[in-house]
Amino acid sequence: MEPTIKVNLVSKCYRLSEQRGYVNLKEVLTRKIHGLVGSSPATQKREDLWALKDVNFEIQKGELVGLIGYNGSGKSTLLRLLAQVTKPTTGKIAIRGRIGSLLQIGTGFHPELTGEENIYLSGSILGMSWKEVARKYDEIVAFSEVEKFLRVPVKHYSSGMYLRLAFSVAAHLDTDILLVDEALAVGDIGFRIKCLNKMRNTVRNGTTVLFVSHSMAMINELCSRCLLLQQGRLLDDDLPAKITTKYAQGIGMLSHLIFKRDALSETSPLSLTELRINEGRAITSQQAFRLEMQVEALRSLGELVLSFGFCTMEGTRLLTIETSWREKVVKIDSTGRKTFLLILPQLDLTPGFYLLDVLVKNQQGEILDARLSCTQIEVIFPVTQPNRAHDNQNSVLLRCEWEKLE
Amino acid sequence: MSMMSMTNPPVKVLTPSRTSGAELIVSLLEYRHLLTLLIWRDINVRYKQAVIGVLWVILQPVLMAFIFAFVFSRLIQVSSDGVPYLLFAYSGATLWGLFAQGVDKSSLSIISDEHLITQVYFPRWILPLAAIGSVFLDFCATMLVLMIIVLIYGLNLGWHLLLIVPAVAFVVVVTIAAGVASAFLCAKFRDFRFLLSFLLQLGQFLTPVFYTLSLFPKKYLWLAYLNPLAGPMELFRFGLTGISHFSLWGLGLSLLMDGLLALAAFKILYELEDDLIDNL
Repeated sequence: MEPTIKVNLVSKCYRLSEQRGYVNLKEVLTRKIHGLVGSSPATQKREDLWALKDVNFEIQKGELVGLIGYNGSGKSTLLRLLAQVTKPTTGKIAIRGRIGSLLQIGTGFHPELTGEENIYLSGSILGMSWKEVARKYDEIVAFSEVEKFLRVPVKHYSSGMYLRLAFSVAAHLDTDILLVDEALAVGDIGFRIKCLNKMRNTVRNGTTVLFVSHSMAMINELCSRCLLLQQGRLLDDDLPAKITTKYAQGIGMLSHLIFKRDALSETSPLSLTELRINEGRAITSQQAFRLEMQVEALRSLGELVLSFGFCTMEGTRLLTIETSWREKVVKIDSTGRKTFLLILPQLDLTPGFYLLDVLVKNQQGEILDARLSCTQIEVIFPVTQPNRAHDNQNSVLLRCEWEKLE
Repeated sequence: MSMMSMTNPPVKVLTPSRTSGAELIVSLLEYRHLLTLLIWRDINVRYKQAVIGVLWVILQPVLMAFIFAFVFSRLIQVSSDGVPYLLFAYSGATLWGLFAQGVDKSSLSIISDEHLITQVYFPRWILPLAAIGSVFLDFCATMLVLMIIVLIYGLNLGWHLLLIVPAVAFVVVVTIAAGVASAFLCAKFRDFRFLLSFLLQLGQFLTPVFYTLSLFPKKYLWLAYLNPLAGPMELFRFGLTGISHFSLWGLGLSLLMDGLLALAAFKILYELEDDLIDNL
């Protein structure tokens, strides 16, 4: 049987001078005139950036394939090529069937239109016919849980309602192939699980899915196969467990991270900008630990929930630390950048390697920005303690007392 | 947008080769539903933002007609081939408005829907076409007001009214050509907008919107008809009133320019379509 997606020696090159900023007609004309007159024009040096290089793979019908890679590895470029948004520079892609691209939440949504109108608009832009949307309308509405607000313009929706409605439309897209960016699986935890289940069902019905994610837990849970991209090349193609381990080990151990806006934070009123880990010092088990997080708010948002997650290298969350669980409340009542500091008097994790998740949520528990597995941290033995052999398990240390009875 | 076929879905092959002119046209036909939908969106959004909503569609041209009536019938005396000057100027402004607003709206259409075309594929020139479509519906409302003015002046209604249809059709073609070209040029060259707004202002004076070409010296008349809007403009007025100045060869010359403009616009579309996204 022919593969559903066949990517054959595909490369994509961007010219940096053209991509950065916009071309000015004035500059182009003056350059042309300079050229005619014969004086040496200030030629702009063009730098070629190969976002993808000689990528080869096939995906069969009904597969759910994960795609991971560090920032700038070419994931988005690959999705854009498959979505037919841009053309490859070399190579050939064959796609069998209709393709639906869910690269950002709320594609086609217009703030002035009502929820109902947006269902039709977004559905059609994503590739459904008017009739198909009409047929699935009730299902979409029920899934979104915003029945009461369908006649209200979506600009009055809370961000959670907006995300739920937007995802519901996307989730009911009935194409042969779905390209999904992880930013879609958003909202509160309950809705997240609902989204993931929906995706599983889609695959059961024979849809082929290519799923981009930073969350190794999600890849491990959902996918049957995983691709790893690095600097535009397809580094590996194997079982998710193997790839995610390899990927996690490759996540650098940075003590200072600067985040660029991504698919999720682009539509969000708040984005994570920087993260500093323990002021660059070594992280020691059962010693004090500091995390400094900087966010940029586009409007005042009221109370926020800052959340850090410590995961095993397989992506399983071991420990979550959230502001709402403590009495101290974080508030954003003006725009601009704000820095928050978390101090743990004692980091109760066993020595070993962990992946760090950083999330910011609003009071309703809706995710405003999230960076999952953004860096690896190593927790080391305290020097005062002998370097005891342990069973190499990542674990949370609980204060406890042992007693011998009798 | 066909229904999903269970057995043997069609294969689409994506290669580096340039999208051909035929593919550009075929893809537009395939996505015609999206065109209707985007027109609906533009209109819906525009009149939702206006406080009085749909009433605004009619009110706007009526208000304009009153202003024209005041300014032109009382303050200015210009020859208008025996047509009441209010009707003369108002009809000119209506048709010019279709062109100017169509081009203006479509020039921004790609830029303002940038987030869409970087995520989902559809033929990008649907965006300027949709912008023109929504302007055209406004134009239809203005036409109603215009017809009422014709009735008020008691002009005879005859076969010549049918000429309005081809006249408007020619202007729509010019608008599409200029609109699509400027949408792509604006997306590629961010300073093109300034040039465009200057060109539109200039065009308003070069087109017989508020004056008649019968004022022109015969020797240089052909120059005026090089403007692809000049001939259709006269045809439109003649169609409305049955009496104004109208030259058949002038119309021919304008239509020839109209065709050349359309070809040039299609060439621009063809050249810029493929690289559009990478330049955004």
